[in-house]
Amino acid sequence: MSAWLKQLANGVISANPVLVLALGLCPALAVTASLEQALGLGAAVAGVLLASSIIVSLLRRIIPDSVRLPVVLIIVATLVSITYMLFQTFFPSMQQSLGIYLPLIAAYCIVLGRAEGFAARNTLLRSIADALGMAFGFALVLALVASIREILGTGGLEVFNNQLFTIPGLSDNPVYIFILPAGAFLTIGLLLALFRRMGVVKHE
Amino acid sequence: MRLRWTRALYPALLLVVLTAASIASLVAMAGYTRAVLESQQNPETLAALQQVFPEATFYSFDIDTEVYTVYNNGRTHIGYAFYGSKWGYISNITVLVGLEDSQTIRGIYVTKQLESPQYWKRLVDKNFFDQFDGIKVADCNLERYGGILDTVTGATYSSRGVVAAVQDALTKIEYID
Repeated sequence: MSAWLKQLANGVISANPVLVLALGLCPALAVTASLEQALGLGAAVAGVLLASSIIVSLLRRIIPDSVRLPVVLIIVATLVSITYMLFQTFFPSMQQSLGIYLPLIAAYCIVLGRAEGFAARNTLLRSIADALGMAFGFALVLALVASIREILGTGGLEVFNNQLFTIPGLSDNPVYIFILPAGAFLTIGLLLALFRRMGVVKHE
Repeated sequence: MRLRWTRALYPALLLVVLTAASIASLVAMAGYTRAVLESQQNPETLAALQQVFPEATFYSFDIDTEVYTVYNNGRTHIGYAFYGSKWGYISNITVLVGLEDSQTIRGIYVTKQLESPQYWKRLVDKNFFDQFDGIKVADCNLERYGGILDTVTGATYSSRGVVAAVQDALTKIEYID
């Protein structure tokens, strides 16, 4: 049980995909202009990551090494297509908002790397724990970056058409650069530096 | 020899089986989501959207922003639409405005009006509504106000009512990318 929890926590802290492994930087930069977008993409990636890890782990004994990568690609691409159709049907405004970054999940290093590099070599339970940890770690960082950018860039925080709060003064004079791409780089860079300085995230 | 051939063919067979399973699951999911989308479609709304987007097959509606997102049969997004309403000569005129993107109007379709028939007929005979096809959002105003639209002589108030209703619809443009 502790090994399972350790694997889960691994993805959130010591092997966080964005802040430690530097994977998924593209969506972390592009889809964090608002908290709503970040949560939507985080949920989509979590679903694909979990499902692909389960399937790859279950099939690992019958997949020869020579075709492991094509098999993983087929599985991930199928799952992403299914996710896209589900978003289009049940969450159309979110699907429009995420745009190309939803189908691009099929090319994310987080998904392919963990499915091919971990799930293909580990038991089902460990793969599930790893996928959940990685997905949660990824979504957490996306939400953190999006919150910082939205608060500083607009002076408040809004999610699913509910204004959570506004900061007097800042809402009248927001720091617009934070909702621009340059602000994304700035935020992630500062977060990386802060987490490493605090020792929360360590080099392996 | 036989075992060697089997081992050599196994990866290829695995890929074929996996591809077939992938195709089958995608077809099943496409069928399921299509059924769900069809159950959500209002035939009258779809018919109105098809007046502006003839190739439209599906649409989705955002309750909060009141924006319709329109798709064709291949599930490709082809545009947006919103309703607008303003007073014309003797009645409210409701129009459905279709946009290809945030800059370009695809066309308009008047869904409701109770204007005087003889004045409305002038708008129809002069193809008044066709002048909205393909114009830029920025140009969507009467000529006297800096736009490119012309009123119809003898049906000025109805003309202005249609333009005002279109502009009312375009206030929702902030909700699209």
